Amino acid sequence: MSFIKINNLTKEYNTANESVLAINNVTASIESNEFLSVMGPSGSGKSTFLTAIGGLSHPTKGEVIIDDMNIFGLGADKLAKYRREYIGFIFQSFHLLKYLTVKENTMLPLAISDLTKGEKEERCTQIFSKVGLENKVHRMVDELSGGEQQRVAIARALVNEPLILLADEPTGNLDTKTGESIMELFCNLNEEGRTIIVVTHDKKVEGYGKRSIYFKDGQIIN
Amino acid sequence: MKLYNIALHSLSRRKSKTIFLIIGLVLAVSSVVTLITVSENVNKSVALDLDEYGANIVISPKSDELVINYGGLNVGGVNLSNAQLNNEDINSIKKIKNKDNISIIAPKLLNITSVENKKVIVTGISITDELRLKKWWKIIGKREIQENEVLIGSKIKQKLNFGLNNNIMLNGSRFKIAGIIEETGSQDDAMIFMNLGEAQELFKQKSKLSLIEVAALCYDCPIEEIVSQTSNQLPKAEVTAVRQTIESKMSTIQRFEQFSFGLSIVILIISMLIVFTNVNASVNERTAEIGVIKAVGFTGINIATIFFYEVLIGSLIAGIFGYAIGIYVSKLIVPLLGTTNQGGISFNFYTLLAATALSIVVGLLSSIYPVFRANNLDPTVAFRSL
Repeated sequence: MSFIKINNLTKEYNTANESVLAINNVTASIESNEFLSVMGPSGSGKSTFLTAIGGLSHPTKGEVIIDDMNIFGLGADKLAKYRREYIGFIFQSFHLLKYLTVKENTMLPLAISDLTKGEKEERCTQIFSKVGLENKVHRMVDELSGGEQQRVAIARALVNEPLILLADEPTGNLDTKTGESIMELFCNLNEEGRTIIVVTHDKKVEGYGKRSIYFKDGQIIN
Repeated sequence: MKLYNIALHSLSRRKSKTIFLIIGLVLAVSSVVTLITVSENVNKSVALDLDEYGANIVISPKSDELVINYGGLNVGGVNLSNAQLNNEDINSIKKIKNKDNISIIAPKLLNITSVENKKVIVTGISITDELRLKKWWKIIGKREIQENEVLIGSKIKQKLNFGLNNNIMLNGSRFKIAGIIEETGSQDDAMIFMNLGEAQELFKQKSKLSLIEVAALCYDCPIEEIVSQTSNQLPKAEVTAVRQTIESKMSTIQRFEQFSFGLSIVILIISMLIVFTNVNASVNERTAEIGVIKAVGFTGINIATIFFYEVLIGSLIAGIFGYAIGIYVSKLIVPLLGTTNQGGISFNFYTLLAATALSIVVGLLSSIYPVFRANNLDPTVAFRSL
């Protein structure tokens, strides 16, 4: 049984004027510890696919099975717990909270954790070392460069020690060199045993993955 | 890092929005505190003034006989010389538990005598107390009569054709008419008033009293309580509350209170709208933030807690400042109202607690719907907004 199983997934968005089929009857399997690149043009359904795996976007039809768990059969609180324990999100626009420092942004997911203060501090120290932010922990995030902000977003995604990292265009707002360093970091995290799914339209980014799937018009075409 | 830390940081970073939230609540709390404090002070002042405007308790000897009426009240046996109250009873009244509520004690000794073959009622009074009690008396001539002087009512003047500074013979003694009371429409018009001691001596009723009128301050003590305590002190007397006076006073005060209450409700509703608008706008601005918080695994309760913490902190600050401003403004307004017998306005810890609690309740209630919206926000919509 695959670690992530998507069965006949369909997502329809209803706007004021029309109904948009973002994903249409998609089926896919992703193994544990896989590094998957999800490619396709804008509006092809890649991000919707990603957010469905992350439990953020309820499908109109179909199911998402993670580690033998039908995540959309869970109640709201259990779904939130699934996101805490399994998923780390990284967004193109970072989505950091501007009124918090680097350390506070990283520790945000731990605000509702049962860890002691000492345990939280130790975990953060290890993560800062991993992402290369040891000297910037007390800076406000809008004082950092784009690459550094994305590292903070990665640190935040890692702090709950998730099994799956979902990255939506993680290098979209970065220069080439910075983008490469971020993708190197993803490779290291994959080697540590995490499943990585990266949505991108950049061929260079695709090359870091071990496998790719291609979306077009809401369907996987290969 | 805890949820309240997130709330504190959010408030400190969004200073202008935080200040706007606090100002909305400060306006409400300070207005309500001012209204209630001023209204309470005015009520107290009006109540005290009304309490001293005529008697609200009458003490008369107990009697089985139906007799003379003094202002609508029975005052004892047909034979007024059987007065059963005495000067000592005045001291007894001053010993009740709520003695501080006794403002004026006006004893009286009533006797009937003849002047030029016409029957008249002569009333011995304590002139100082009587003048304090009967503020409506308009007197031509001298107000505070001395030895061998009397005040006469308007009907006595007409009936016996006496004028100011004329002499009148009462029980063989000569008295000068020092003052004439203008028509009051009460039994006082048909009476002759002299000093109590002189009346007791003249009519050979040393230390005796026919009745005692009392003005009790019943703003913070029910009249029934004072009547009961007085009855216990004077078991041989009949102690009666004057219902008409009390009820019309209470009606006046209640109108003040209803007005203050109504205005306070309006102000609180406006404040709730301000807070609602503020929190609603905050939810709209922070859709991406809410999406991120959901993405990292916060539940609906966690998200609601963050927003409620923000409102709670703002409400707490607003409650304290609102109370302080309300008290300060009250101190400025009360002297301008020209009321007498003003009570002091000062810091009260329990009122501060109540004001802060009110601020918190208003803040939290106003935030319920916006927080509900935040919980139900689709996080993917939030991410698409950037």
